[in-house]
Amino acid sequence: MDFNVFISGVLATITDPLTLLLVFVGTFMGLIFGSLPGLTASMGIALLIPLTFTLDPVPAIGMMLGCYVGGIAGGAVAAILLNIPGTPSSVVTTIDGYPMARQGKAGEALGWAVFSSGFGGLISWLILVIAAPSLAVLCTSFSAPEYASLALFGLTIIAAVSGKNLAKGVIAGLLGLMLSFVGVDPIWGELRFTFNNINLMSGINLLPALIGFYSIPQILESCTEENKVDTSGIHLTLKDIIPPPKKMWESKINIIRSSLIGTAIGIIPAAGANIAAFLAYDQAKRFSKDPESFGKGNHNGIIASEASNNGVCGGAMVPLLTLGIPGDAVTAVLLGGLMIQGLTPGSILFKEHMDVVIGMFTTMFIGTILMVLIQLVGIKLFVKVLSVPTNYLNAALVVLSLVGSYALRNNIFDVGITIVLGLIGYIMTRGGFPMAPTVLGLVLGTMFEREMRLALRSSHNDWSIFFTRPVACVFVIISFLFVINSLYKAWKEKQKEKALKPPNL
Amino acid sequence: MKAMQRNSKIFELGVSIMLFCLAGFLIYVANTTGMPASDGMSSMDFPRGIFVVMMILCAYVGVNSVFWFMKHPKTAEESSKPKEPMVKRKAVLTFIFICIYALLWNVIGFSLSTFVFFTVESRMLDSKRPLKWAIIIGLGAMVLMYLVFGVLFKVQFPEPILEMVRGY
Repeated sequence: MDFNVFISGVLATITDPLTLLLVFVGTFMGLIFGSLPGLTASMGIALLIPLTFTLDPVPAIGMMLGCYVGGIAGGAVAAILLNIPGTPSSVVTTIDGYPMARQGKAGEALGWAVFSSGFGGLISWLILVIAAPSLAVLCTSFSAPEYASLALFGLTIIAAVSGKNLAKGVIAGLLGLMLSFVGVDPIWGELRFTFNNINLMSGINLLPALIGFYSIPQILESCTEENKVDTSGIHLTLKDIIPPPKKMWESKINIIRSSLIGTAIGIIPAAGANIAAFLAYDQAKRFSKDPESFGKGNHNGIIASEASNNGVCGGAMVPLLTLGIPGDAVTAVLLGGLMIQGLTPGSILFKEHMDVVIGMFTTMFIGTILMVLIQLVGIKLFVKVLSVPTNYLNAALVVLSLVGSYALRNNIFDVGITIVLGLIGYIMTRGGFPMAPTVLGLVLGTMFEREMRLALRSSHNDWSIFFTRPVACVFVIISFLFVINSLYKAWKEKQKEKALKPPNL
Repeated sequence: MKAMQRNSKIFELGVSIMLFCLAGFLIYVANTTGMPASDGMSSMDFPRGIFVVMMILCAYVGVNSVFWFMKHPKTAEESSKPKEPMVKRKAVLTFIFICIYALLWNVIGFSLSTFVFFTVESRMLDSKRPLKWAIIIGLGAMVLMYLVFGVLFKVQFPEPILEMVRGY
């Protein structure tokens, strides 16, 4: 990357007040969504996407990235104050965060969470900026077989995000693929599964589907819960929150190690922030001089969890931007947001839209800084947010969801799609089917089918093209190994459960 | 715990049957509407393959669910306990309200239907809170949504009544 081009791109972004404002809005919204148990960063990004239609790519994506960074960091608030993880990635924060809060050190715990999230985000951002352009250069020679095998690899990630039941995860992924078939055939141009409905001729739009699968089931689930959160006893000041610089310096190794673990896990597709947090916590405990104190209010546990889960953000952006493969479920939604902006991740993005890429890097950096500042200044607000009555919150989320679907094409049909898919998503969630594979199938399905069929046409239906081209062959083999590994893990898990089950007397 | 697991298994079986039937129906549609390709894969070949795999997996999950029910029949203790509804009343009502809300957009317009929905939904979810607050917050939500989306982001919401009042 040319240094002068980089600097001019950065200056263009930071001198645009609209971009800065939108990154602020996105980060703030992400923190709110992350703080509230039951709401996720994915949902926040899905609801933000409709606001970005009339915007230029850089401020639009900046807002989504701010929401991503804020959404992951915001989970620590409820985790520390209420022992309820605000997001799945903040489960590990509860282990030491809540005990610290019970010892009257809630402010200190929150401070460690805020600064660790900031450091984790910045370190992974640095690796993103260095690694992504180099990896994109390697991808310039990719053509249909390579893209098809990459998409296949992305689809096999379904196995990893399936949770405990692989078969259910694959079914959910296949549902996403099935939805991607609706509309125009990518090779022959014929209409498929439109049932003579003019609204289906352009296919099932990604945004109404995202909102339907992520937002509606969660709303239906949470409307049955009573709002019992009472934060009236919690009083925090800025002085309580900022950790002593000496203690921060003493924890530098833990901060750097956890951030690097998070970044590495983020780069591996589908591993996710949750795994990064557990791994980093385990390592922090192993290297600690006082491992017995972990779980009883050791601030190093919070550092490990928060630095790693925000470290995932930059890492997950590497495969997303260079290969078009989402690093986790949240970046799958982000990928949808990029596609809606007309940007296709990969080497073409770096070649033809370098200004957008630099804008993304800059806004991600700004979002990370803002995430720390907003939490420091506004921590009282986030504590208050936890006690917003869920009846008003749920009603507002429904309105936002339907408006978000409608705003894409000003078409009430999209609202109908959201409602129908939302109902299907709710029923599937109740049956233990995960939603992340459905989104992956929907996002990657069209690309996989198109590139696979193009590759076969160019090779005159010779399937060996996927094995004779080295990069394609590597990805196909990795995909199969990934699937076999997931099957093996699922089988091992089942054997473990059988062994632990008490015998019938 | 057992009741929750039983409910989850019922949903699991229901989803398997639903998606099995859907995949079967789509195979029928693919066979009756697809055009054969002169070269390479036709437009329905790949979808057909996916539908077949879907049916196989749904059958597998469905059969596993049935075996689970056979291995875990309801005990006398479970039968004597009050039956927990599969879907809570509030969730059902919320979904019905969402459908009515969406249908009302073209009848009374986005703004009015947002106010009505917000008030009714928030009151239904928590009837202990005073009605006046539901009305006030509903009005506020209506104005905020219209200003942000309708005015700032220029989304063209259907507003038949407001347009009639304005005389367009």
